[in-house]
Amino acid sequence: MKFRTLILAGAILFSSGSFAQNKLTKEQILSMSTEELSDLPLEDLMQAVETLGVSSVDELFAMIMNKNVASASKKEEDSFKSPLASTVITKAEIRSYGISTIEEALRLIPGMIVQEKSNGMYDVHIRGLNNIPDNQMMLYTENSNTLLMIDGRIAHNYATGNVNFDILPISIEDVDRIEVVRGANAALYGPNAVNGVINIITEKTNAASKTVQGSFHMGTQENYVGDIAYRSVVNDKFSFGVTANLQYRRRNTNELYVYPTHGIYYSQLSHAEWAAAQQGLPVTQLGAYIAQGKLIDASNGGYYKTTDIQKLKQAFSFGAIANYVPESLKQNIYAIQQAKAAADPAGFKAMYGADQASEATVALFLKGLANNMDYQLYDVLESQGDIVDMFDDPGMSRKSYGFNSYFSFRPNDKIYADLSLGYQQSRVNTTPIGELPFSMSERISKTGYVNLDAHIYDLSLSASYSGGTQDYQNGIPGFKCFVNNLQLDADYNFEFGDLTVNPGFTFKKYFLTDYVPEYDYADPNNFEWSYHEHGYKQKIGGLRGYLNNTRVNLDNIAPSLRLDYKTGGFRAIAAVRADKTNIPDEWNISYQGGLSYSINENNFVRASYGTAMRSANVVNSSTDYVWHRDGLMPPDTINFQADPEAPLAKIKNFEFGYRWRPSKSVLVDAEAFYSTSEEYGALKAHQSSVVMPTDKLYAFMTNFETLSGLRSITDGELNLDVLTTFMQNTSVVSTVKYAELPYKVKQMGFGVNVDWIISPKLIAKFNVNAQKTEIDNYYAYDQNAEILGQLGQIFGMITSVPQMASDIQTGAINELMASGTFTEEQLMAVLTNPDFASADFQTYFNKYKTYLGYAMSDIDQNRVSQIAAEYAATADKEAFLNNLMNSANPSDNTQYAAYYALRYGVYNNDGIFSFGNSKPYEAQTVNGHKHKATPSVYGMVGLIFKPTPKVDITAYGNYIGKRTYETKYSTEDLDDRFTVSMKLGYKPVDGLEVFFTGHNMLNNEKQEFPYGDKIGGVYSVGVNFGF
Amino acid sequence: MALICSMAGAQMAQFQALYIYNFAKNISWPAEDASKDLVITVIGDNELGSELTKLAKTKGVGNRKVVINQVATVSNLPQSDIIFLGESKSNLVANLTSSQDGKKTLIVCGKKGLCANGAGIAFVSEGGKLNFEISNNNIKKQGLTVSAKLISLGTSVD
Repeated sequence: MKFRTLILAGAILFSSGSFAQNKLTKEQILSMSTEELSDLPLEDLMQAVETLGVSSVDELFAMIMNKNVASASKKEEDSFKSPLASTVITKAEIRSYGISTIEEALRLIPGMIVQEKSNGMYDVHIRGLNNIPDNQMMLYTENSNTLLMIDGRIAHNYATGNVNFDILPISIEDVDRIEVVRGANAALYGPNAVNGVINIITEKTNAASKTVQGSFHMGTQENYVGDIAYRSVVNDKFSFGVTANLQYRRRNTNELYVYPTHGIYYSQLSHAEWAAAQQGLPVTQLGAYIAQGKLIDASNGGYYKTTDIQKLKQAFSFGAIANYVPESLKQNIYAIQQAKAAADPAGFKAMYGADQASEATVALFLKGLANNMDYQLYDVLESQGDIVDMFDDPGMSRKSYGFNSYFSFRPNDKIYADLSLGYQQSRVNTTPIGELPFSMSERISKTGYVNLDAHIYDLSLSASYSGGTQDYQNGIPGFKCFVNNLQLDADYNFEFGDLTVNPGFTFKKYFLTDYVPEYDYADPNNFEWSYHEHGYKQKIGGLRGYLNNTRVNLDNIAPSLRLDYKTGGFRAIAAVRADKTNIPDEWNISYQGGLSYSINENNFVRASYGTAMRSANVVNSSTDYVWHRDGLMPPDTINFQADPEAPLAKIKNFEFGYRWRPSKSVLVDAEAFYSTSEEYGALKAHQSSVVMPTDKLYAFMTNFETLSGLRSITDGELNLDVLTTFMQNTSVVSTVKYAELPYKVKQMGFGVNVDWIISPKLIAKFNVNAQKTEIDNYYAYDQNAEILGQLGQIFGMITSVPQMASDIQTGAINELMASGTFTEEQLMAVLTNPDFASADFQTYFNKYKTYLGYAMSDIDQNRVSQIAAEYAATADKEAFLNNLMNSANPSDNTQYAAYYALRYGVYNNDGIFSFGNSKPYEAQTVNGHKHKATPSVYGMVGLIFKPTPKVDITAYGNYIGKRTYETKYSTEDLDDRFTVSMKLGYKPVDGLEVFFTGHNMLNNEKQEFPYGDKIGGVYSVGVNFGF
Repeated sequence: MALICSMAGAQMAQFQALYIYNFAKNISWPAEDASKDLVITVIGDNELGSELTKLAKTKGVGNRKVVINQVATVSNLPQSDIIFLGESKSNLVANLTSSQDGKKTLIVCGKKGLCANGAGIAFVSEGGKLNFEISNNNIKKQGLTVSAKLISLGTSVD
C-alpha cells in the first residue's frame, strides 16, 4: 500500500498538467483504489482510462445489446422491447466485420438468406419463399416479398416487382443502422411487406459526428470499393452531410453461364452446311455432324465466351410435340390403328410388332414420329450484333457510384425537418428479367431521389420522389424505361394517457414509360413487321418497349390507423391499413395486431398476427409486348398479355417471440413463425396457335403435292416428311398471361439469435434458423411443357383432318352439294380429298368448283386461268393470292382464304393464318409438396476479437443448407455451404484503421446461387478513417 | 465468463462514477446549496449506482456530503443536483430534460448524442477511451455554470 501511494504521489507530483508524459502503467492504475483514483484530476483520470482501455465494453453494449429500433412500431424504442420480430445492426458492427456491401451486412441478421451470385452481387431474401412458382425463368428467383426502404422512402422496383439492391444510391458510410422486421407488415408499411421490411436508416449529422469519415479498399478480382462522408454542424439549428460512394467489382471470368438446354450444340458448321441445315436436318445428318465434331453437345450448360455463344445452335424437331399430344388424338390414332390392324394384319404386325392396336402401339407411333421428323437448327442468338450490344463488359460484376446529401434543420424540438437527395449510376451484370439462354444480363440505372421528412409537433409529414432511367436488360429492345416514384405520407400522433393513436395517410404514384427519346420513332423500319429470310418468322424493329411506348400508372392511396396501448408490462398494438389501387381497381385491407409482455427487465415475450400482399407491378399488370424469337426454337412469337387483375400474392403470418437477457452480456432473441400464402402467379401459356404467314400460304396453294401429301395419312401412317415441311413452314404463336396458380404455401420455422460479449476482448454472435416450406395444390407448372401441350392439341387437330376426309368422301359430298350448305369440317374434308393429290392448278379449281358449288360459284373460270398464267409468268405470290381471293368472293376473302389453309383457320389482320387454338391446360395438383429452393437451415456465427485496443480480428461464417432450384432450364441442386470471411484491423493512430479482409477466406468455389459464378475468395486491403 | 464481464462492467461504472465526481467539482453550484448534501440520482444503471454509493461513503464534493439515489423511471424524481440517465433508459431523455427544466440540475447521460436532447453531458465510450460530450448551453439553461476546463476536456456540442 505504501509503495502504491508513493507511486501515486510521484505521479501527481510530476503531473501538474503534464501527466501524459509520465503516464501510469496499466498495472499501476489497476493497483490503485477507488479513493486514490478519485484524487486524480479529470484529465489524468481520462488518460488512465485510455491506458486501461476499459470503456470498450460499454461501447460494445451500445453496439451489440442496447440498440434502438424504429421500424418495428414506427417509433424509436428499445429493440429488446420491440413488439415485432425485429433486428438491428449498426454501422459499427458492419464495419467491424469488414463488410463492404449493404447486402452482405444483412447476413448478420437472423432470418436473412443472402446468396452471392457474382462478386458483390447478391440474392437477398427474408425467410425465403423464393422461386415460387418454380420451373420459371430466373426473374422468379428474385425477391418479390420484401419491402426495402431508405429512411422510410420505398425503394421497390415496381417495373418487375422486385427488390434491387444494386440501384441503391447509398453505401455503408450512409448507414446509421439497418432494421429488419420479419413477417407480414403491410398494415404498418403497405404492400410488398409480405415476408418483412428492410429499413435502412441513414446517419444523422450531430456534434459527435466525425467531420470526414469513410472507407476504401482494394482487392483481388479487381475490387475497388470506397465511400466517404463530410458532415458538419453549422449551428444548433442546422447541420448537413454529403457522401459519395464507388464500387468497382469484376467477375472472376469473362464467360457467361449458358443454361442447360435440351438440344444445344456448339457449332463448327460451315456457312454452306448451316444454310443447308436451315432447310431441315434429317436425324441421320444431325448424328453425322455430331460424330464429326461439327456439332458439339452443349446441352449440359456451362460457361462460354460471348463469341462462342454466338455459335450455339439449337436443334429442334416438331416431333417433340408428339410427346405432348392430347388424349383425344391418341384415341384417334388408336382408332386408325385398329382399322389398319383389321384390314392388314400382317402389315400392322410388321410395323408395330403387335396384332392389335394398343396404348403401346400408339406410343410407338408417336415415338416414331418424334424420331423421324427432321430437325431444324436455330441460332441461339440471332446475330453477332445482339450479344455485343448486350454487354459493355461481360467480365464486370458491379460498377456503380452514388452521391447523397443530407440536410437537417431543427429550429426547436417541436419542429424539425430532414431533407436528403442523391443520385446514382450503376451498371451491373445480374439475373436477367427476361428470357435469355444465359444467366446474366446487364442492368443499367441512372436514378435520383429527394426525400423530405418534417415533424411539426405531433404531425409527421414526408414527401419523396425518385426516378430516372433503368434499362433492365441492356441490348434487348424494350427493356429500357423511365421510372418515377412519388410518395406522400402524413401521420399524426395522439396520446391519451397510456394509449397512442396514429391516424395516417399515404398517397403513392408510380409511373413508367418505355418511350425512349433518343430513338427515331419516325423511322418506319423500326416498327414494320418483316419476314425472316429463313422460314416465316416475323421480325420486328427494336423500338417497341414492353408497353408499346405508352405509360403505366400505378396509383395507391391508403388511410391507416395504428393503436398502441401500454399498461404495466403489457403492450398491445393494432394496425389497419386500406390500400386503394388503380391496378387492380380495388381496396385491400391489411391488419396487424400484437401483444407483448415485459416479465421484467430481462425477459420479454411477444406474439403478433399480420397480413400483407404484394402490389401490382408493370410487367404483370400492364405488359403489351410481342417477343419475336428470331432464331430461337418455337414458339416463334410470344405475345405477353397484361392482366390488370393479375393475382397478387397474399400472406397471413403468426409470430411468437421471446427475448432474454440472462446477464448483461448475453442477449437471446428467439422467434417462431407460421405463415400461409397464396395467389401466386406466373406467366402462363394462355393459348398457342400454329400460324402460317401469307406468303407461306402462297407456297402451299401453289404446291398441291405438298398439300395433298398431308392427306396421305388417311391410312393411319402420317407422311412425316410432308408433316415436317408443313410444321417447319408455319410459325407457332403463343400468348402468355400472368395468371394465378392454385398454390397454397405454408411456412413454419423458428430462429434464435444470440449476442454474447464474452469479454471486452471477445464478442460472439450467432443465429440459426430452421424452417419448413410446403406447397399444397401444387403442380410443377412448366410453361414450355404447357406450350408444347397446346401445340400437341393443335397437332391433333391437324392430323385428325384426314380421318374426317375419308369419312366424308365416301359419298356424302354429293349429298352436301345437293343441300348447298357446308360446315367448316365438311369443306376441309373436301379440300383434303385424296383425289386432289395429283391435280394441277386448273383441274384443282375445276374440281373445287364442282365440289364446293355455292362457295366458289362466283369464280370466273377464265379469270382463274388468267391469274394462274400471270403467276406462272411473274411468280408474284402476293399478286396471285390477292387476285385469287378478289376473284372468288370479295365480300368474304377472309373466310375463303382460311378455308384454303386448314380446319379452324382464322385469318387475322397481320396477314397470318392460324390453324388451331389450344384449350387451357388442366393440371393435377398434389398437397404437401416440399419447396426446396428455400433452405431448411441457415445461419451465421461471428467473432470479434480485440486483443488490444488497436487490433481487431474478426471473422464470421455463413451457413446455407442444401437447396434445389427448379427453373425452366434445369433442376439445380446446390450443396450446403459454409463460407468464412474475416478481417484483420490495426489502428496505428486515432481515427485510422488499416485492415486486411478475406471474403470467402477459404476460397470455397462452389456456386452459391443457381447458374451463378464460382466466386471464390476475394482478398483486400483497406483503410477505415474518421476525423 | 460472466465474472469477467461483470468486472469489466464494474470497472466502467467505476470510472464513470469518478468522472461524475469530477463533473461535480467543475460546476459552480448555487451558493444557497453549499451546506446541503449533493444529491446524485441514477436512473437505470445499478452498477454505476453502487459504485457511486461506495465512493460517497468516503468522498464528498468540496465540503458537501454526497447522497446517491437509485431509481428506475423518471417519474417522481427526488430533488437532485445531478441526474444520471443510464444508457438503457435513453429513450426517456426527453421526459427527463423537460421535467428538470431550470431546476439547476446537471443531467448526465450514458449514451452518446443525447446532448442534442437537452442533456448537459453525455458519455462517449469509443476506441478504449471514455470521453464525454458537453453542452454549455444546456447546462446554462439549467441555471448552472461549468468551468472552462471541463468544457475543454470534453467535446463541446454547442
